[in-house]
Amino acid sequence: MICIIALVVFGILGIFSATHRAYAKEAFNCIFRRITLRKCNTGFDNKMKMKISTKLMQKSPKLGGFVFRHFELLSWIMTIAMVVSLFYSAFAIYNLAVYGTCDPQDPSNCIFQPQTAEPICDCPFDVGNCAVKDFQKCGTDCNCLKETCEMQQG
Amino acid sequence: MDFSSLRMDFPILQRRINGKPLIYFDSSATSLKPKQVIGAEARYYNEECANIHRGVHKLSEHATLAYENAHKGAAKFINAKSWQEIVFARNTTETFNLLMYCFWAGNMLKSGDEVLISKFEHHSNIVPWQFLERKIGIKLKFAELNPDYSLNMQDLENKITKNTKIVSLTHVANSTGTINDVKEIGKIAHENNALFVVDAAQSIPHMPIDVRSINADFLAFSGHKMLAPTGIGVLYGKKELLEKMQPFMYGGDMIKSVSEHSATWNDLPYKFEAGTPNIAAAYGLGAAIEYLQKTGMDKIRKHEKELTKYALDAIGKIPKIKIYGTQNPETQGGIVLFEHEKLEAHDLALALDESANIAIRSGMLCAEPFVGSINPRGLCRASFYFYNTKEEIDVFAREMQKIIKAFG
Repeated sequence: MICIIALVVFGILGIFSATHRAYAKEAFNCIFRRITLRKCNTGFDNKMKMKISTKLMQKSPKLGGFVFRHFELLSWIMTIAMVVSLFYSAFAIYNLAVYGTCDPQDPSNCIFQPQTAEPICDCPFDVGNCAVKDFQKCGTDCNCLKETCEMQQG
Repeated sequence: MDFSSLRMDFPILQRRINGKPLIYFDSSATSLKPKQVIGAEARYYNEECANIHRGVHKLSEHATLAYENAHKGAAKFINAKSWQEIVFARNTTETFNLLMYCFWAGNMLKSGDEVLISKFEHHSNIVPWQFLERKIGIKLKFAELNPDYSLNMQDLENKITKNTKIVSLTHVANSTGTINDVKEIGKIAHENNALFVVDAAQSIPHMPIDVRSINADFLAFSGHKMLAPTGIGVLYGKKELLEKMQPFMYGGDMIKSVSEHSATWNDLPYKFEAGTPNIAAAYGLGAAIEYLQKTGMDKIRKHEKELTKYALDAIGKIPKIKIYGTQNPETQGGIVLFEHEKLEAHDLALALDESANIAIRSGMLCAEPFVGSINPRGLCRASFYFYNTKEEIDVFAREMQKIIKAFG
């Protein structure tokens, strides 16, 4: 299971680092063998297991030991979590493309609102008569000075 | 002698990985290289790069001289009668292939003849003979081991028959480190009119060897395990035997003269060194032999005995670890073969590498019939050389305990 996560992680890191590229290739070989109904014989999963658990062991022997003993189970959990989050991400991207928001039920949940394409005036505190909400009206001028705000409002 | 000062000659030992020094306990696989050897190899490429035996210009003459001197150095190192008894090959495996092929091609072996080896041979002393087993029907026999993993001399004697043509044994087993009494084995082989072949790959780097005292007919070793570069190995053979044998490979440099349909062979050792050899590695081998001679083979052996004793004590104290071997530094080279009762060999080796940059060997150790009979999933091997220290063994033992406590 670790090979699937490793392929994604090392595939991305591999863009920047040759070491990780080699790991990504190894992970791919492992997955390829699995999906063609052959045993993964690269030892890649074991290598990752030992690398991760030994690193953790140096910080906390108990944690390292726990990861070493339950590595397969943890790999399954991580893989399932990764698949679920990938599914939700894909769904959100679809909604954004089709409905213009990643959450059509409650658009305020979506950080990719179309209106957010315009700059939002934001002020960390109220300045005189110019409350935070007033800055919404300030157009593109995000200056928090009262004068600017009054001038804009005037 | 202060062996720790020699560590400065090994640039790789100055390297730090993730802020920690390297602890190299895998010298049985290949040794580290001192700057003298690296420099000699670089000298060939930087200053004297030319082919040997093929030019009258200065560079070619210098290279030829250095190449011949490497043969002479190797001959002196093992006390051979003549430098012509030293044949360069790529490694020990190639020398065994050379022997196998030459015995076969020269009809020195025929169906029903026996080759006697032992249970803990390296693959290079098993697989070539297996080929002849299939090809011409020779019989490959294995001498048994004692319970303490020493060679069972009685069984060896019992297995020699009038059909035994070759007794081919390792001097130091690459798995357990057991030192075989090659002098005695040679005597037994010759009493039975068999040729005696010695695999000295694990002994040459670590102890003085005298081929005349052993009375070996052939003796093989690799340069890369004795500080020299990879890609060069040595076959020692008694001159009269080498002269009788047919060449191994045919082509350039191994001939004296060539006509359209025939050729005559070059003098020894070049009859067995076809084509352009690894000249740079020969420069390196020459420098490695010089380095070892300067250090002193007796001193190296003494230091390694101390290390082995120290390591056997340190590893032996770790719970749930089982050591395989005679466990006596007098009869064991600088090798400790062990396993943990629960942890896989590869897991332990990976953890040691990850936690403290400790390089050990794990798996079948190129001796699958033997190692697989103990544990089909492999064993761990820590092997030492003169550049290792007791402090490194302490770190090794401490890390092993930490790993076993967490994962075991």
